Amino acid sequence: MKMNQHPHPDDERLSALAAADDDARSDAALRAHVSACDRCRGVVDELTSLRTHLAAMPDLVPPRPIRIVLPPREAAPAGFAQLVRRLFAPALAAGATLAIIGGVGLSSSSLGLGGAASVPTSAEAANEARIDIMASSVAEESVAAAAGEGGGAGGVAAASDGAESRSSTIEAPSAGSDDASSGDPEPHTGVFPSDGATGSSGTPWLPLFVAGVALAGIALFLRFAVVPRAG
Amino acid sequence: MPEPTRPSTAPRTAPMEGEEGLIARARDGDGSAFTQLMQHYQSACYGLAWRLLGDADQAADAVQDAMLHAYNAIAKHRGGQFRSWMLRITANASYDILRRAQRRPSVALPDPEEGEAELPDAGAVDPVAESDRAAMYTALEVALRHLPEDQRVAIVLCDVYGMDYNEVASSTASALGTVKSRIHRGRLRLRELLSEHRELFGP
Repeated sequence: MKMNQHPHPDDERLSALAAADDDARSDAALRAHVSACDRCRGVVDELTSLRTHLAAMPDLVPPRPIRIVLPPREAAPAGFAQLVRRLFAPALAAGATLAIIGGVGLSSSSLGLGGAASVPTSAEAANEARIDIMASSVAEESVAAAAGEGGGAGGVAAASDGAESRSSTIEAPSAGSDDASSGDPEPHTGVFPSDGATGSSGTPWLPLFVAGVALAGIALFLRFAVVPRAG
Repeated sequence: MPEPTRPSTAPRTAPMEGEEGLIARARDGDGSAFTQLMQHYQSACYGLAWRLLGDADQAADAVQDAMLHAYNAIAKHRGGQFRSWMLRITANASYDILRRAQRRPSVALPDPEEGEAELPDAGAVDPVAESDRAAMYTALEVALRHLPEDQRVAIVLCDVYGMDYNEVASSTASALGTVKSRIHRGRLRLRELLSEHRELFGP
């Protein structure tokens, strides 16, 4: 029953209309023909009724209950998994917040913006070459101070840190800032200046940052590595 | 040859009360919650598998495969109707069995009137009051079994279980146009096969 051989549309088009397919519903010629043709309207009605009955066919009860043998699953206990799932988002949010606050605080301190005791030496801080020189002098001071103090273990460690700071432009600003406090008559302020300069000594930024990163990391690890099925 | 066991009909499975909680527990590895879900939906899954495969043992195998797959994949279930999700898995498992059996798409199931086929006991729910309805469903089951396999699979997935054309195409690894054509031809063939039972299919 092709269109060019028969005035009626193809029956598959009538089936599409019975199923309310978009292309058939939007076919104005098809709809006009069906509305005017008793035969085609009858086919569409029968197919529509057939679809209704098919969609209402009942389920079938298996003659024997289906046996389900569940394989062992390497999942965390349900209670633990639920706990992890419940706490994941708050823990991640708290960790991220702490890390951001700590990071911002650290940045501010290292730039001399946040620490009340730091001396603003922006011109010096901007000059990397000079900072490197200052870092060198701090290292030398550290060695001298350590020697003058009898070579305690902490002093040696600090001297090593200072020496390493020569090759690190990241640590150099810290040493440069310390240089401002090296004018302090207390020798120890010259030996351990880098701690104070990074803002971690007496300020909570570094512990805050570390705690935030750790919290977020633990939350991510538990959620996606330990109980990945937790949803 | 022993008389094959005939499945009886049951009303279409509705969602369970507290289903979301059971799904969440099953997702967290609670085997008893998962088992409850499977017991509830086994008739829906079995009906689909039986209509696709036409064999009780193969249908049971398909449902078992589907349940194991569901157990391993339940973490991927993201809301929506659990019944539809299980039916899609069952359709895939059944179609895998069809492909493994290397049946040719043009071969219809054995003629149920020859006595070799198993037909559901359509009157099992209410054999007296529902006799006309039972006769209608029996006629539908017989007519479905006379369809070529490719048309039957498409009709069962689309018209009986409500999958859209894209889902049927995905489950049967077929092109969208091919699926539409199978469904339309299958409907028209069903209409012919049921022409003797028009009184059962009145408006």
